[in-house]
Amino acid sequence: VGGEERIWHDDLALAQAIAAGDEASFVALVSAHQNMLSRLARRWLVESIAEEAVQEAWLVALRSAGRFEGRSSIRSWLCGVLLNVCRARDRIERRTVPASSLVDEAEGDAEPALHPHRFIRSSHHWGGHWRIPPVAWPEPSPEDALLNKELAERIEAAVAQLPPGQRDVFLLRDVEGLSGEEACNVLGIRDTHQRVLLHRARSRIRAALEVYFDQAGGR
Amino acid sequence: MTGDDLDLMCVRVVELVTDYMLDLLSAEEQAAIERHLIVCPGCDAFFSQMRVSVRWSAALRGQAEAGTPPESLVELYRKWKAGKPEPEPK
Repeated sequence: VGGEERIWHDDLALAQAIAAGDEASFVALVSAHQNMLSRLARRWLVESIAEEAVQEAWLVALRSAGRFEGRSSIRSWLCGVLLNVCRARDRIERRTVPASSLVDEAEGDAEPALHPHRFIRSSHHWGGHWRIPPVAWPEPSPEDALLNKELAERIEAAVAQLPPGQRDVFLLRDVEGLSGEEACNVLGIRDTHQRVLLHRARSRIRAALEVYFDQAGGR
Repeated sequence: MTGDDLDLMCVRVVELVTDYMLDLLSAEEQAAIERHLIVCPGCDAFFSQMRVSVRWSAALRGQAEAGTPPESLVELYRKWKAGKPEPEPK
């Protein structure tokens, strides 16, 4: 915050065209981001109301497109609109989305990437080095449909187990491909916090896959 | 390891993997990690696992089918444009 502020000129022009009534611009925006919004809504809400929430988010976006100033990318702005809609609905339906990032401030504090038993105790001469080192995983080919399906299911299950703040950063960054700056804009958190949450989330996903490969290796 | 890297224990290296992958470390930290990875198969395997894990995570993007058909949104847009932003009551 502070200093020169970046303006997303192309996104600003797009939002202005939409606000001015250019249907083709709206169709282009929907085509680019509808699937992302739909995926996120289904993570944040129960399936039955997720699509309604996406529809509502588009309506909110339409109504406020004229006020979009290009201070963030339009996709992070859309994610933010959707998140607000989901939070409002969630208060009624069930709580899955944290209402405040403050809830997550403590998330990840003192949570190591790996269980301490993986390392030699610090009192030892070799303290801090591996006691149980990881082993490299096989690289499945994209054609290995069964393995890829199993891996996707494992990752899905691990994502569902993540604390909300970690889950949201992980989904926005590693699944949807948003930058750190964009994820911070959507979630209203600081970059340092975002990086910690992403690291914790990635560590948990890796750990879940390690369990999977350990089991797979044993059969 | 060189004397400069004495405090770069594996237990610390694994906490730097995300910042390393995102290119957020100083040149010195990055070089220290790279020196460490050459001599430490455990950390090298760990970094490799993290890279693979991140790549597979990105593949989840392709898992979901399309959401609301664009036609309904085009309709939404036309209604909004015509000054009738509320969807039809069911």
